[in-house]
Amino acid sequence: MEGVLRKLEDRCDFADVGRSLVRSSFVEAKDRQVLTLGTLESEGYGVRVLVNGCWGFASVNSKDRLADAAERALRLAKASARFNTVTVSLDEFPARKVRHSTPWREDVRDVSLEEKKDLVSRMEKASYIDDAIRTTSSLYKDTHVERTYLDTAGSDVESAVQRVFFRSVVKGRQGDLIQETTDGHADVGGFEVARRGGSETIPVHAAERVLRLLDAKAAPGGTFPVVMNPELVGVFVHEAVGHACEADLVLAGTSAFAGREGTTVGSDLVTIVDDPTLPGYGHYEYDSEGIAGVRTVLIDGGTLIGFMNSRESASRLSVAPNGHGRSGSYSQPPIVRMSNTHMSGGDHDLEELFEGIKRGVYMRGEYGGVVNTTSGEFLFKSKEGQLIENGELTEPLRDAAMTGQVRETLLHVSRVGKDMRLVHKPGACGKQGQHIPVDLGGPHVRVEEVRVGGSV
Amino acid sequence: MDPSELVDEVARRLDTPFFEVAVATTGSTTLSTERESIRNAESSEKFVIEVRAADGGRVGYARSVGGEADATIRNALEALRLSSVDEHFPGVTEVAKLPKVSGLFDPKVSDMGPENLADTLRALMDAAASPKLEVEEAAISTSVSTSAFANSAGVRAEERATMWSAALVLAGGKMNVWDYDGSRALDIDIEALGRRVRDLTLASMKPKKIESGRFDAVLSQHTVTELVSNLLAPAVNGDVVQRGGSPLAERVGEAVASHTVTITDDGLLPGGLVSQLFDAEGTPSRTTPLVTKGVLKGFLHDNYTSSRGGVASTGNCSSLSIRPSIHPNNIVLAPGTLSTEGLLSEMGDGLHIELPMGGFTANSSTGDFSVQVLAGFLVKGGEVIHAVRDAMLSGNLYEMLGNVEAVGSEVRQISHVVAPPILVRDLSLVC
Repeated sequence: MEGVLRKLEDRCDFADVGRSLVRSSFVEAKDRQVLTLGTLESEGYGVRVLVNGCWGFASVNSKDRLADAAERALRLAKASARFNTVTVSLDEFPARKVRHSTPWREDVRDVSLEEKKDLVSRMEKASYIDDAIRTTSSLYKDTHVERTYLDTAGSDVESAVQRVFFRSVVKGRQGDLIQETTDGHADVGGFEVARRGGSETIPVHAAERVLRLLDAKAAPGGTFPVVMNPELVGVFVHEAVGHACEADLVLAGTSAFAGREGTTVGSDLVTIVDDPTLPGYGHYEYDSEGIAGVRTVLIDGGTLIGFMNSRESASRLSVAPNGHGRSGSYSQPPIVRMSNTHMSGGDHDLEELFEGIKRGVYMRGEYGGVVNTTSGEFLFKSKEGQLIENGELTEPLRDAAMTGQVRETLLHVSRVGKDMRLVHKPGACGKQGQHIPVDLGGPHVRVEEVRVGGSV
Repeated sequence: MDPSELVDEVARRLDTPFFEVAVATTGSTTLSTERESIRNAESSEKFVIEVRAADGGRVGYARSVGGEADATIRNALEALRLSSVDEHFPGVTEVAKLPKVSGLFDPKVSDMGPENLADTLRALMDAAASPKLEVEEAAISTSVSTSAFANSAGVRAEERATMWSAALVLAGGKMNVWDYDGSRALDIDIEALGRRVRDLTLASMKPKKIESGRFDAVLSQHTVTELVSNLLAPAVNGDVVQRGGSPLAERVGEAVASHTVTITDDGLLPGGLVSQLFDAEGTPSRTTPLVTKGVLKGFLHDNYTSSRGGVASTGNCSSLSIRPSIHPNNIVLAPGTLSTEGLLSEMGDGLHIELPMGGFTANSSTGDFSVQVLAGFLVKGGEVIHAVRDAMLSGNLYEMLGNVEAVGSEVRQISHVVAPPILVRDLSLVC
């Protein structure tokens, strides 16, 4: 790797090489039967060059092919240089020399597949709490990653991390109605994550939700006050605010927050932070450019403060890098990514959030969502909801969708709970084809006017 | 190493009663822009070995990216040793003649260098140019793959395939519109793609609010794809059906859509983006009727659900890693005769939904969906009146399929769905 990098020094403005070794094991079961045990291994190298202000990147699976990858990266960068009207330059950044391992207690490589299989068998059995539960599946997966990062400035960063997740999918049926729910747990660490992380309570919670959904009514359509639980707040903050605060999208003009720094983008109760140093599933010490991850305040009391960046975007915005350049694997170049994104807690107890709502919706479980960061339009779906009538939770609801504009919604945040937490769900964030582990969360939050879709 | 040689070598070294080996190499190149300058230019070369070994109903799996065959075999055998007996273990695919599928490989795609790709990006942006619009992102990518498969029953199969795609996102005012095209061959009309995105963005720029209510609608190919891939594809998955999780289970032979609707899963479609000679288990591809003139005909299977359900595999196994693992090939909605204009005029008053967002939040167990309308238009007397924004379309796929009044003629393939636009009566729109 050093040799290839030395040969690149005179042929480009900057170059870096990353190597990653991944070892992963998984166990999958369906309907109380363990069906697959497996292992996944990968080794690969990615080389990135900057020529005349344009990037080229190439990846290969073996060290023998690295010199060839370097040539391909140079050719790609030159093809871009011939094409581009806008070029980039990197600010000087001191070389880093670091050896770092995020601590684990029980190395996932030393725990037998048999023990992982037992865990999955127990998860499967735990789901069957009622005759209405018809089918289940459970998955356990662990990953051990070793990374080496070298650059032409002399950086040499070695890091290692282990991650574990497990999840249950439970389906139930009543008459013709089928309902399905997924729940899980994910964290940075070794097999101790699986031992302490509720592998027997999560399947039960998933099954209980299925039973509630089987008795729930379809959500009403219209504009209502909504109370979002910490998981939905986390998903909303990640999708609607986090992505719009990625400096590459800001520079590309595809963020509704571009040019709004220092302006009000939410009510004064809204503070949103991305913090890679927190112990969540999105935790890391050093990003894929070998830069330490820094807690980054995005919105402070409703005012837009700053953005997450990589070396390139930090240079272009003339700010200090904050360690958010992450790559999905050795075969992908680093881009601006989130880590543990959350809304900070406020002053209210949970019951106070429902106070005074004549008719509203409590969004309480399992979310999917999508946001158009350019226009700020969003759609989020909560599998489980509950009607709020005169300040009390009443009828269970299913499939409540909410849509609107991000900025209006943040401005309508009227009460923020004390109960901030990261959700520790097995979540991968996808951007430009790259998938990385992230965490998210927040407290319970009340928003005054949200368009809820069901049927009209 | 050549995939076909390595598959043979690994197969020779495996002595378990059942085994499957797959080796694939993929080379890909992607260029993407930030506005009008290339920000990302990347190329990857990937080499993957997979081994699934079985003995006495026990199965072990290992995959290695860039690794050694020895370690992959060892890992699979270790997983096999620790696994439990599976009463539905199906064995492996028996030797059968592979089909011929034309148009999966075009040497011109593999010959495209980064310089040609950059020129094509330029042509795409030039075709879309308008003083009112900005390029948000343009992207182009190519891939070339060679895969080889062998199993313990003596199946031996190989395939070479190419793919290329181009995408464009344009912004006008505070909104954006995107589209893309993909092909196995170097035959995409790149300028038509650029003009299409330009025209749709310009048309969407001045939306007006409308009141919530029930509307008839013409749904574009993108909208049909969003609903079919998120709702119908999981519901015809043989595993979901057998395990009681599909709203279509036990409904074979019943009408599940209007008589205008015929849907097949076609692994043999010439040049289809998901066409292939054989699936992940080495089973030859085929065409499987799903819905014929509104009547449900069948489901998709791999070897596992085939054995458990006593039916034939339809060649829809997508991966050796997790069992069962079923994925549609090309889901084809048979076209009708009306152009999009014809559908709008047949509808009279209603909506034309061009681009939806968020279909993946739909509930495939019930068929219920809500999608945000990114580009849509109010139509009166068959004529487009104005763009509509901030609207959410809700409904149930099966009620909707029952209300399909006409199917259009203009077919497009978008990811794994090949569909024309459709005219549907009585959908709910929340504004």
